Amino acid sequence: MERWHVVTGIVMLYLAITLAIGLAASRRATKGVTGFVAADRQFGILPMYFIVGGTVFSAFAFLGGPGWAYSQGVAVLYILAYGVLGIAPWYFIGPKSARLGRRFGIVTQAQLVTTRFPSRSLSAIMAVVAVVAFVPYIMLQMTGAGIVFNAVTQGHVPFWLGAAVAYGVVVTYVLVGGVSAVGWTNVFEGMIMMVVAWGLGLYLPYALYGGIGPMFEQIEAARPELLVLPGLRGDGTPWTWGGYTTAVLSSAIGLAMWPHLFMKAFTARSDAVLRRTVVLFPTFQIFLIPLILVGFAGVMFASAPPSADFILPHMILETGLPAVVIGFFCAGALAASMSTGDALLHGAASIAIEDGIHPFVRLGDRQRRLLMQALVLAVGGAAYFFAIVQQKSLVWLLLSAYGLIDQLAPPVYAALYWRRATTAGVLSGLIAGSVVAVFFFMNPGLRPWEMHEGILGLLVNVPVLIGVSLLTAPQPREHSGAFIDDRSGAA
Amino acid sequence: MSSMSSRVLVMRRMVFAYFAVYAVAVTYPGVVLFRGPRPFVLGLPLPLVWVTFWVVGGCAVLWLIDRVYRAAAADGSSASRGE
Repeated sequence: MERWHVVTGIVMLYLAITLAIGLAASRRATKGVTGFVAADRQFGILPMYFIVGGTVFSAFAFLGGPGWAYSQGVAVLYILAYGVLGIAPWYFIGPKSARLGRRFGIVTQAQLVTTRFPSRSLSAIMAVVAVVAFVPYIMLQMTGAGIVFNAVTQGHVPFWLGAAVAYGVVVTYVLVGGVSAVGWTNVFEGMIMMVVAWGLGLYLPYALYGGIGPMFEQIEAARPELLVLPGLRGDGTPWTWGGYTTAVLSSAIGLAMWPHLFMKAFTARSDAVLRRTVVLFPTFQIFLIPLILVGFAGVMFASAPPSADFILPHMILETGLPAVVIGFFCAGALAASMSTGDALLHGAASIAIEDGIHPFVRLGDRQRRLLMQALVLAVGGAAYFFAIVQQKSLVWLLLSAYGLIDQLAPPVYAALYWRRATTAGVLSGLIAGSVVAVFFFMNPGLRPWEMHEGILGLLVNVPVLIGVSLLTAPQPREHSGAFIDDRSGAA
Repeated sequence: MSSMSSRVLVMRRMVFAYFAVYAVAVTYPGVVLFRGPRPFVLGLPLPLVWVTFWVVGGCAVLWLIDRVYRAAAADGSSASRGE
């Protein structure tokens, strides 16, 4: 039996277990919209921990992360830096949003914002921003799955087939089980990711260099520029402080604002579960360190991969590891891709219906759920179509999506904490910020100090929100008070 | 306001302060002094250790506030709720 047979066998076993878990979990939730979108608000700490970790850490963590360390050196630290910084606000806004969700029957981020700022346009714009940001992100996950499958089977499983098989499984369990399937498959996928990342991250530096210290000493002697912040750009020229700093800040502000992650606040059983999820999140996040070490291990590696994103699969194949280990690596990378892709697919479908269609056309519970399921198929199919022709490096796609997602932060914080904010203010800030972010994404040469377009958008979004709010009539105190004055029993 | 809810408020401010300092410490200009690569700590270059230090600190701060919140919640359920 050839090596790729064993690898494919292990991956198929992983996919079969994932599918079985997804289908079994689908029996847990009721068949209505709240069951499909928010798991009847019944998730405990186990699915919450893995759903947040699995959703945040994607194919990018497995491929792009080591790829950055390998080709751009310590520039990769921006990913390590922003995670905890980005999730910390959720400790406060997560439980508060969840309480408002229970009180007003809210299941998405846009519903939270438009319950405070009633506007169908606002709801539609937030839905469009979310879906526009999701599609490249889903494509990225599919591309990652295809790349890995293709690489570890040495080309025997073509890129299009690997992506199709992995995402066939994802679409099936999301379609049948909604967020319950997403949550419980993420528990399994998250465990596989962590075991594989830590195993390889500690093994490869020792196998190739005799230890982590000797590895960095050799890198320092040969390529010192890789170990000095802010590191390098993709083309190998030095990165700027403006670029590095705003990459950290933009990602930190955007992290908890990703609509598919934010709406998981409405799935938690209690405030305590949500808080515990945030407290435990860094234990998941630390798994980026072994992945960064793997990337550095590639710097002095004898041969170079076809592109930086291939460094991890390339080293694994070239170091003559047993086929079983390669199979587990592939399962880990697929798990990283699928545990993000499933939440995105589910989020895109739920948000498009709940926030994009439902405010305009009143639909029954059953019709909405059916439409969501149809959209899971449609979005999955469209993303697959585009992913096959997609060629860009993984990280830049992700960074570009953050530019738009950052613009959702002012509306969310204003809804929860600023009494004087008005619908006109939030709406005009969001539009202005999004236009600026898209403009600078299209014209990167015009960005001052190479600042991230998300931050540039916020520099317009926030003043417009404040200015227009102050110029328009305040909301009735009892309306805004329901949001601002909400406090938990503890604080 | 009970002493418990004032502890929650103090803790909350500490968390905000910690993460504000964290944001400056891992970006420009805070990180410039730690841009590396030397000294190595446990074989790791300085910037990697510096960023990891703030991440682990963030973990500890979140764990601390959660303890205070839980104590306050237990306290609040036996007495009156809210601030």
